[in-house]
Amino acid sequence: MKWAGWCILVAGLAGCAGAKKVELKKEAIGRFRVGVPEAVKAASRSQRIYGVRVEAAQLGAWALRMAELGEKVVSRPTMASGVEAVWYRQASDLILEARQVRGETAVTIVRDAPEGKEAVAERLSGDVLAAYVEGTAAGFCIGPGAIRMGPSLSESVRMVWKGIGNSVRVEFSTQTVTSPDTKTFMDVDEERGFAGLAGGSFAVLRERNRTVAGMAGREIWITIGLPGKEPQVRFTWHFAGVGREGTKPKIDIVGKSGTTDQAALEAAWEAMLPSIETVPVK
Amino acid sequence: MAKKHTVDWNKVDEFLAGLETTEKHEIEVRREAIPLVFVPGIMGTHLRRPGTDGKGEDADELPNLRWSTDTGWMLSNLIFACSDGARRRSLLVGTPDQSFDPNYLEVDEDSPPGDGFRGIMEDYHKFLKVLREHDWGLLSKYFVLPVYAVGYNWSDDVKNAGTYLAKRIDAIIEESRKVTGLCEKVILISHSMGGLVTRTASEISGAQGKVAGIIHGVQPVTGAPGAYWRMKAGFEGFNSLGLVQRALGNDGPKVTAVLGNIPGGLQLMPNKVYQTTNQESEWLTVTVDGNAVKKLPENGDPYAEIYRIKAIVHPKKGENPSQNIYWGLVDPELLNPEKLSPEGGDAHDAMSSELDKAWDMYLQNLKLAETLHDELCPKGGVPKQHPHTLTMTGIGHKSVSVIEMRVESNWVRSEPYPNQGFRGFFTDAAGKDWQAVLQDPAEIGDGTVPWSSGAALETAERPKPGDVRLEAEHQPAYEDKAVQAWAIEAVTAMVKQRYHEQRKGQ
Repeated sequence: MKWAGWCILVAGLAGCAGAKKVELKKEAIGRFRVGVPEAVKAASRSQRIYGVRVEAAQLGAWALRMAELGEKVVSRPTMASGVEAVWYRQASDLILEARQVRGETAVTIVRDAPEGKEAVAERLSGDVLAAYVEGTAAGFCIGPGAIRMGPSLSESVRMVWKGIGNSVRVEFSTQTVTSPDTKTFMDVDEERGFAGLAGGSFAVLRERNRTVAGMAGREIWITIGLPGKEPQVRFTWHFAGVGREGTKPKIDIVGKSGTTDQAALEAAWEAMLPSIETVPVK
Repeated sequence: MAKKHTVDWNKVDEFLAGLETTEKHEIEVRREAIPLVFVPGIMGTHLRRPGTDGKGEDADELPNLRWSTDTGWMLSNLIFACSDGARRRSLLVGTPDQSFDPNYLEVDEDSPPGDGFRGIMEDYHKFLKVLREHDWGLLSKYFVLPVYAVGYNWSDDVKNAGTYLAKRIDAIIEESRKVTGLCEKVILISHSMGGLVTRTASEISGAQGKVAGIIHGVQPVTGAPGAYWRMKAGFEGFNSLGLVQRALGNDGPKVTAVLGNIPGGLQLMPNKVYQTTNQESEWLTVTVDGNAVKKLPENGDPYAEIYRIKAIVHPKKGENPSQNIYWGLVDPELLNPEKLSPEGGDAHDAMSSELDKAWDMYLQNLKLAETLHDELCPKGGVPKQHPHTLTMTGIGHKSVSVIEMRVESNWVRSEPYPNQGFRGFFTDAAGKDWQAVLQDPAEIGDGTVPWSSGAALETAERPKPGDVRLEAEHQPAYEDKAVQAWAIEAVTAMVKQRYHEQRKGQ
């Protein structure tokens, strides 16, 4: 069963009179599941586990990619059965790309390695590919399925959605940490200073603690107007993460739009945040 | 109809054949073009991904224009983005799998570049307009002074930027020759890091013969301890720096994730001949109760004693006294924020560790910095500079000439990288906790470069207007009226020099 495409109805602005209902679809990414408005489209997504970038690609993408790499390819290692792989050089880096078709999905990995440590990278990447399970509701989600490994100390995800109004853009990202990140999106000094130096306006629209999926985070809404440009709003929610715990990465959710699309951003925001939930590890 | 003749300006006194008295003659004096070529400082050039026109985004939703000083761009891509070290690194260095690649970025300019203005920071245009609109008086009878700008990939090795500039000088001379018929040399005007680039182009990349002179403004000739300060603590507050300088981040992790991965950033560090404003070669001190208990570099080599030492900001548990060297330039954990230390992880975490690779790449970039420093400012030798050089050093603003880490007792602190600050933690033999706190800038310079570095090319024998020290801030130095007046006088002096060279013996 695929998580992407599941649709549910969530009452946005729960508890508020006259709240607007936003129809949500669920996207599973990394260790989390996020409800996003039906109208939005994923503009990009990326996932890393054990430092290996892993993606669910289209079936025909490999041939195009190989054509693109062309003479950069330095070797074609033999990995597990059904795995196609190449090492290529990019400037001083040696990079492994491999893919394996699993059901309707071409799972691809990208991993660099220092010279002489190619075998370790191949083993690590091979293990990541082998841990892919199609249609699962548990693990480290990459779209149509998940990697059933870890949690690792080096996990990160990033997903960007667009499609509401002309300017709404929402980004969800996580990153494991060695110690809690108590700085990112925790104050607005940099933003206020920027607006001042640029001769613009700055205002804080909301600043409060907000718990999402049981995680105590910080929510800040600001607006910045630059001379001659439409004022922009930015909503952020930041969870600092727990040091060296794969299932408790720092989380940043960033919503941006022009002020003309602020209402649409607000509706999406208030629907998305309460919808976030963690995905079981196994 | 008059018969037309063209005579180069410097040959008007020579015999002109073919002037039959039966015909009318029209003689045009051909003026010589001496292009004024402005070369900006670090972060002053707009950069894009090669193969794009700088518009739109890539598959990872990162902008194809990877660096711009446009406020709208900075708002979208730095201030409003998830602007931690990882984000900044991905913009300027690449994905976590990528190390520095000199071909990762290129100047965002037209093809051909034309006057080059599009590729550089808009704030510079104010000064370029002043140059372009200046009335050069009598000199205009003999010379045309078109104004160009040459941006460069400031993330790359300055040597590559110097080679690029040398090629652009050839192209500009060629273009100017097509317009005026006569052009042999340019005058270079540099800002900050552009000084290293112009000296490299002239003295290492072979362009010296095509350069009539170089005018340097606020150049970190022997480097700037401020660059060390910013790697440890982030760029200082908004009150003391311009918008663009601030854009790399307000804490050490953000700045290290970029500058620690690009040779261009490392080339701004103090070199082996750097001297403080007190003329001392030790520029990094650890102090207790006002007394220096450590002064580095002891042997005059900051590479061996500071830059190649891994910074470890917390003491190892139970180690009394602790041996961690917190003053090393770079904390390896900050170089690639998306690839963490595997300490405490499982077997796959151990396989995934790449701290060694990030450190090795840093050392490779550092080697490029050291090579450039040794060539431009050889220890025991004379700094390389063009024979016709004039320098302007900024003064009047608090700058870092000496790094001071002040030791204080520590009861509660644990964050080594607060905004605009740094604390190195250690324990003494009795197991007591201490912190060495990085102190704010306290010496005189332009706010970034201490005067001792900016003035390191000064000599007494310069022609007027000579090397000067003016009250000017680093980033907007050329927006200052006094600096503009000096620069115009410097251009005038160099053009006159050219006049006398060409008229020698006549």
